[in-house]
Amino acid sequence: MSTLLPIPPITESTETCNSEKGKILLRDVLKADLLEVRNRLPSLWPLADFVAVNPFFGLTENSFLSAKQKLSKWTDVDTLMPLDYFREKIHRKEVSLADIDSALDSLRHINPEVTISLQEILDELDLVSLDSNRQAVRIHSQILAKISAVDWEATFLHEVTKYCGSFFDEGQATWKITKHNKDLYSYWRQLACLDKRLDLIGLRGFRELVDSLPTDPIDTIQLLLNRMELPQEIWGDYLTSLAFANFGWSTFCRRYDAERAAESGDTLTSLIAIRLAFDFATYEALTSHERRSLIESYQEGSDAEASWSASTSLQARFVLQNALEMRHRSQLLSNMALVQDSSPRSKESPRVQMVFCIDVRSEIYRRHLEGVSSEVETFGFAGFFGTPIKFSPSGFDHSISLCPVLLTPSIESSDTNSNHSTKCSHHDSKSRRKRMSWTNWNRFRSSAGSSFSFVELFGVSSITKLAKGAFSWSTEKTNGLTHLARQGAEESDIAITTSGLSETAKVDLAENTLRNLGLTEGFGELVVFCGHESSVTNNPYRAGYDCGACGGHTGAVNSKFIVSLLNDCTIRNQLNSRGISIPEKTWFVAAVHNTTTDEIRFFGINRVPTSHTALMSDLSDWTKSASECVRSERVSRFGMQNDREVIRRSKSWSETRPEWGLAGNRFFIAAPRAKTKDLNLRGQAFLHNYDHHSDCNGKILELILTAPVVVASWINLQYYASVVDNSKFGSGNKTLHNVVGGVAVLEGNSGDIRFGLPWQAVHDGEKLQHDPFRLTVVIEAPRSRIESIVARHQHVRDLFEKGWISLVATDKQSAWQFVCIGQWQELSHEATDAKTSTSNTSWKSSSVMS
Amino acid sequence: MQYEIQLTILVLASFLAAQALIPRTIANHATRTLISVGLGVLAISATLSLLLAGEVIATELLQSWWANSRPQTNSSHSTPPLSLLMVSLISVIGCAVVQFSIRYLAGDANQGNFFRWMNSALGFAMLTVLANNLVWLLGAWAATSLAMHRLLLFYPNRPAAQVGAWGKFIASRIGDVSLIAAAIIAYLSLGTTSLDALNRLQFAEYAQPYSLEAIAILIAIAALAKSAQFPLHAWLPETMETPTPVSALMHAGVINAGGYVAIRLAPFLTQSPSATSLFVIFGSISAFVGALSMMTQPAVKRSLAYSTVSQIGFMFFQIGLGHSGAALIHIIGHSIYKAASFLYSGSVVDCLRLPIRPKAPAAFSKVAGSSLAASVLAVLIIGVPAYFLGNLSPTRMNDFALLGIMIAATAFAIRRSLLAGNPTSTLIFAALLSIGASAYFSLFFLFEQLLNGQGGIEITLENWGFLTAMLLGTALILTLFVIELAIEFSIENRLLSRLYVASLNGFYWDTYLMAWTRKICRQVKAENPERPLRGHFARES
Repeated sequence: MSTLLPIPPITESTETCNSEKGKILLRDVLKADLLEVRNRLPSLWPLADFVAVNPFFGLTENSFLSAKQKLSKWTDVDTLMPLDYFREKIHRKEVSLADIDSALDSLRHINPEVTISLQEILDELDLVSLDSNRQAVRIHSQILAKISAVDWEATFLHEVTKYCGSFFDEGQATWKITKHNKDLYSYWRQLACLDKRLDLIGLRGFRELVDSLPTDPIDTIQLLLNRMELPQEIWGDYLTSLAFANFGWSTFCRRYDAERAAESGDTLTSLIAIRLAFDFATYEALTSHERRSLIESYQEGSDAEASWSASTSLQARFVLQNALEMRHRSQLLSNMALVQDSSPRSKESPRVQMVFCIDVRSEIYRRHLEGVSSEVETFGFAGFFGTPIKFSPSGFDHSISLCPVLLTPSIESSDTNSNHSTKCSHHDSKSRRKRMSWTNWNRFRSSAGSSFSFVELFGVSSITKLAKGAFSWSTEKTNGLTHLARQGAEESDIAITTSGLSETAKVDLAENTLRNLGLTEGFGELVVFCGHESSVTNNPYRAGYDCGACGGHTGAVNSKFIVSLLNDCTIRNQLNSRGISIPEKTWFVAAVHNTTTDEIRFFGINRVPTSHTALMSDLSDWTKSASECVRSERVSRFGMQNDREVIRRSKSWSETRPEWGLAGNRFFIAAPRAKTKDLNLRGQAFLHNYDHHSDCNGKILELILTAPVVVASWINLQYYASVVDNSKFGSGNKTLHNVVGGVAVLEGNSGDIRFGLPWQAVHDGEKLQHDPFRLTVVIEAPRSRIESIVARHQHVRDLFEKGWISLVATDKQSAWQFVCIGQWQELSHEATDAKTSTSNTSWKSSSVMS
Repeated sequence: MQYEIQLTILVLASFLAAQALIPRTIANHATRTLISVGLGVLAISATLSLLLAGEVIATELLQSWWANSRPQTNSSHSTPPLSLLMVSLISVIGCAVVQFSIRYLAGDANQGNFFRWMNSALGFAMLTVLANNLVWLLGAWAATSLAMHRLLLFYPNRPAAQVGAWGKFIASRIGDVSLIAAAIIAYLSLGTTSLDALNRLQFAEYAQPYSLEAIAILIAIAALAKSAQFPLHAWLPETMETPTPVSALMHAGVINAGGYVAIRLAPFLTQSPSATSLFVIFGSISAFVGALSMMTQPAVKRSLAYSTVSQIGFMFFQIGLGHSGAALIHIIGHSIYKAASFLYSGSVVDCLRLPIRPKAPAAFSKVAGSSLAASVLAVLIIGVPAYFLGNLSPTRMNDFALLGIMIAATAFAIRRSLLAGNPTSTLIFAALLSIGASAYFSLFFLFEQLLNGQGGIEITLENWGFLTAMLLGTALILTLFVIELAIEFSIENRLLSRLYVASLNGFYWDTYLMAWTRKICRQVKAENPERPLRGHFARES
């Protein structure tokens, strides 16, 4: 069965569509279907700019529970943890029967999808789970794979990866067929009609088929769909199934299109057309009876959809998930309630203010820094500090965007040695030539003919690389763009210069950042803007550890830039006229927090006025002791011997877990720092400063809810999905990773490129380091204000209403959970309940992590 | 003293190899012990073998070098310095790979078992290079291959892992069978299987050396088959379904064993026109196929795998030409280079997005001028040390082929550097090349002396078979430069597109491989029910 019948090439005479008008109409339908496919997919960023993405991005208009049913139409994926996980949680007494009961109780009131009873949940827990892993049939190659000796699914994935990998390659392969003015589809079409591989495996006549396909991908899709006689109403779902069959590349194409649709056409449509051609080839090999079964399975599915209700097993897991989350939420709220009364903000402004990123790793640092010195006040703010920068290191054709991926960078900047700013262009061409010689060296190494001589003349010199790795000597010595961006940002005498930014625009930037931060008065003597970055070695997921608010890059450039604005006298004068008076004694300093080693490095210390040097040296002492405290906290989480190992992990060439990134994130708190001060949130909370008293019109809250909260939800759901179903929404085993095209990883030889986080990023080998809890957003603000903002933004509203993340509003006495517009559920009773039953110490001891 | 040290190395290697006998569960409970033992033993054997090899080379070779006479094959050394060099190479690579795996596989419940097979594969590899007769060689080599098989199937539930592992299994068994045949013929016709005895044989002393020819051909086939040479190479790029350090060990250590055997028996093998022709033909085809495939692969590990095929191919080509000294340098350089490349394959993202070309294409006159200048420079940089240090002469055809390829490579690199318009970097580059070339040819001379090679087949018209093979092989490798030029000038035509697609597919040999392994795999799968999954990837299945 490995050799199939020859596929007849397509000739115009067999065209089924009769009228010209009908064709055009169908084309519109098809375009709408393709748009729908696109909207159902999340985006995947290339490795160099890797940022967390909500894998359920296109599904948030469905409820969390019914999304599973939607997804299972297109692919096999799970959206909740297996029952075993919950059994263990119950066994460890992390969730009690009472918790489950109360969760069920509240869910029944607000979610009509939940019809299960407590007894049924308990029955489910007692059962040995027999998940019927019935592989549904969605595309023709899956039918063929079942009845043939060849794994056609894997074969087609290999083909897709082969062509997409070489098309999107950013410089790994030395030989590329130039894709000048060519989109992915015509690139594939040009090469696939020369490619004998599928013929040899058994799809005879495939090259002729490719040759006879139209030149436009949409035409191809339309033609092939017609030839397969698929009813028009299942087109959308069928094409989505095709896109999900190579989920990684589809999501990659979606992002690629969003960035440069104009240049290279529509790659996602191209990819679907390619995948459809493969599926069509297998369709030709099937008997008419087998062909029928696909259409039937879709029709079956749509019948079931109408009368869908979640299965008991799914409902049980959903309730248990909620019970766990509610338990932790009420613990947090009761702890916050305890703090609220105790410490009002002191009138006297502190001497040092330090602004950190909202990242959960900053929470640990801020807690310890405040513990070390009472003279430091800390803030939480999105780590790009309101400056969306497009950064081009000198001598490069490419640039990188240092801002959240939701934004488009508006500030063009470069790194120039401040002493030689006049020789800018000279500097540029010099570093370009330097880079070029590196390129030449690489070509000598990797070209077909010269690679032999390279190995003979210089192969042995690699022994130094091995020694460097084995003894963890300094290894940072590459000339790639991302690395140079980092390097340029690190050297303190390299200033960040911008071009084409007017004075007013600069003042606007500075004003917005300070206002959104809530720092418009009471400035300390030193105000530090502290971005963050990571330092890992030999890790393709490097960008994943960097600052997500800076598009997966270091935050150093942004902090340097905002500080250069705020130290500028003319800008300060202008700010004064806009109502923000920065005292003369205030000096701004840029810094960066290394989240892998937990060190803080300050920039431009030699420019600090002499009046501030004493304070500056105090501050650097404080940060040093704070860093030690943070590291010792990390030691217990890693189960390491001492904190030297923390540094070692950052330098090790073979470390798959240099740090835990954002693992553990589950809360987002927008409130004044006083409300969370002295609370050990154990690196689980995004902290954003927000004082609703100084935000009368709700503009700042609107910004928080639509930007940082959305980004945090992406991060949270990325981690959630990577734990819950690592095979589809995670990137699998890091030890097998194989970087393709410099943009993504394969797991092993071939297959699809992987989406999401590796298993090593969420699991330490013994237990999960990230418990998959959906994000709880806690905002201290009047409910009416929150509600009016949520109502205005449909996407945010869906996230909260459909149960993707949850929203809690707190005031002095009570906490309310948002259910839907016009409906809030009071949690204060529960919270006080928890307060009486669990003391502050039990918050620490009832550890979920350990 | 030398004897004691040799014995110690042998005992250490056997000790490592014997770890294959440790049961799985015990191994997983003794991960730390296995790591310490492995690292300790490897470090000791690296030091010992390096010292010993150094001593042997220093005392005997350098003296005879000054005396300007060839050393006599000395039977007092039961272990030739070549084997000692290989032991130290394996130990050094082993140290790096084991050290890498400590953190890389941390948290895997099966880590102890990993080190058990890793140590044992390294031990058997050392025993392979220490072998002094065909039977020992055969046993140790097959055992190495079986230990590697276990490492390749470290994640046995991955279907794609089976393809690579069983593909290798087939190729290795083909090699084993022909080696067994060689040993039997040798024992029956010569009464010995000793490698040194084989090396002392002179074909010229036999009127009709058919049995010698047969032995040489069979050994050549075994070496080619076990070193993933065309057409049995297709499994190598399919072995990435296992943790990176296994790939590093495979590509830097185990795969070189065939090359080592060919070098070890070079005095014997290079007397046979058929064996040398086999080396030249299959070596150059592998070099060609592998190099083109390497250039087109967008996935880093696949690209490295094809690069291995081509590098080993080139090494066999050198052996075929009679330059086993060059081949030895190639093995050492390639092992170290490839180990580092695999272990650092996670850094590839950091090195990208470089500006590839200068902004404006260069004028024709500039291209022509720089090409001419580069050619002259390359002839000087390579030719001078080759003649004075390496004792190579352009009048010998074998040497000419070898030098021509190196000069072409150097000329290409210098020309590109000249076109980039950075005189300083061109100067540095030229200096680096000169230093590299001087070191290379000194070492080349040393190794040629050390291996006591016969200088390969005499090129005469009587040996027209070998002559044709050599000319074709050289032409094939030089074609790579022509293709490189075409790529650089962005020439696109249907022929090149065809070649590109074929290279992208590894010249389609993986399709046959899959068909074969499917047949074997299905039977084997039934015998070997998948072990219960443990550790943190259990969820994934």
